[in-house]
Amino acid sequence: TGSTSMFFQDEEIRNMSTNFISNYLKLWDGNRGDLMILYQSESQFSIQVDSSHPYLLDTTTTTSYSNGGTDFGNYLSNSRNLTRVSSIKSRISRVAIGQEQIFKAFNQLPKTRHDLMTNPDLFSMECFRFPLLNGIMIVIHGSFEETAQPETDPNANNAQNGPRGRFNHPKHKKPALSKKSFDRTFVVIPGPNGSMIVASDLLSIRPHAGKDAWNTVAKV
Amino acid sequence: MSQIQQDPKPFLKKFLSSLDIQFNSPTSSTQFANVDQYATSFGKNLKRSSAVIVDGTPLIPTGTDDARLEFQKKWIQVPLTMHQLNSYDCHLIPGTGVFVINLSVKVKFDESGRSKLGESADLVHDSTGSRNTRPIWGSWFGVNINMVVDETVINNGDGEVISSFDYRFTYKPDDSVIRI
Repeated sequence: TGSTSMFFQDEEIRNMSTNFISNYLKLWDGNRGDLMILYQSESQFSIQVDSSHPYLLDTTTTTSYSNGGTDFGNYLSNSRNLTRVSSIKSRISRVAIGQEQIFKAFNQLPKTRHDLMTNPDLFSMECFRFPLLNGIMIVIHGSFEETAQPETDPNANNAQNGPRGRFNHPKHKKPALSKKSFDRTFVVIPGPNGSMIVASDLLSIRPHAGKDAWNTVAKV
Repeated sequence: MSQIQQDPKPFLKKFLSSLDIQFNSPTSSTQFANVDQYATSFGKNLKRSSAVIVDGTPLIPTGTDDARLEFQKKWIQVPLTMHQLNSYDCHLIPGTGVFVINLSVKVKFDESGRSKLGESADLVHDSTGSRNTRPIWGSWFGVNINMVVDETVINNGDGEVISSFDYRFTYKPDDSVIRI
């Protein structure tokens, strides 16, 4: 036994999921609109932020953040961390269902670069069958770099509706871009004519922790 | 609107605490008649046929032992744990009767060198007379857990409801001596 960075239930799963992920992340970094073909009217997408997930404090990069902490300002207003979101209204509104809502949610996330092709060590995966819909579950862990602010400002609604000036960022003050770590779970099911449909897409965002969890040699 | 009742949080907390159970805890009311009974209390919400993956390694049924038992045999060898639920999110997948749940968790281990049964591999025992066997907790590890759970968990969180369980370390502190 021991730590293994990649797990695939069988060869078919390996081929399907590595193809899926490499194409997905290429489009996620390039043009998210091109991903919408994978989502249908019952597809669900939501994000959650775990700002207190453990990570190694990197003293060489902390100077760019206030207080040395990671700025999650682009994510928090949409975060469906259900340990913290209790109102029914918020719980429902923070799941995007169907292409239109999902595309809108994608555009409220910062633009990114995932170095999957040049540095696959940054990622680990578990891929296995989801027998109920003859589908597969793809779980990927890794990190990305934020390269630009979101297409649409996720905090725009809050600024209009919330109490003026109180806990909001000052106008035009954008959250600092930085590296983040993430975990993302896809349930992918077969669609018509050999296509694939994402039935469920759960994205978890946390402070940047690098790749050591799945690449360190176990200590004796 | 029954969405608020459809919250697996109580189940998730209970499940995580089933991973942290002590064999003989002076403060706990739980007492086990024997080691088998103790071991089979870990993760008892797993179905016997569950797909179980721990840190990228599948626990494959062998002979008469199903995947859940393989997990329990592994887990009793792991030092005592303390899990904390930081975050979770879930989707009910239409037409399936199951939730897909993604949990963000942290965990620390007892680094006293004792096993869950209180045994130490040390040949030379501390002879100062101290019988303090409280756990010595190490640093926090980061963990991401993915589960497929029957929708019925909302009404009854005690049953065998988990059909897949994927436990992945996302951060390992470099001052820890724990191996899983």
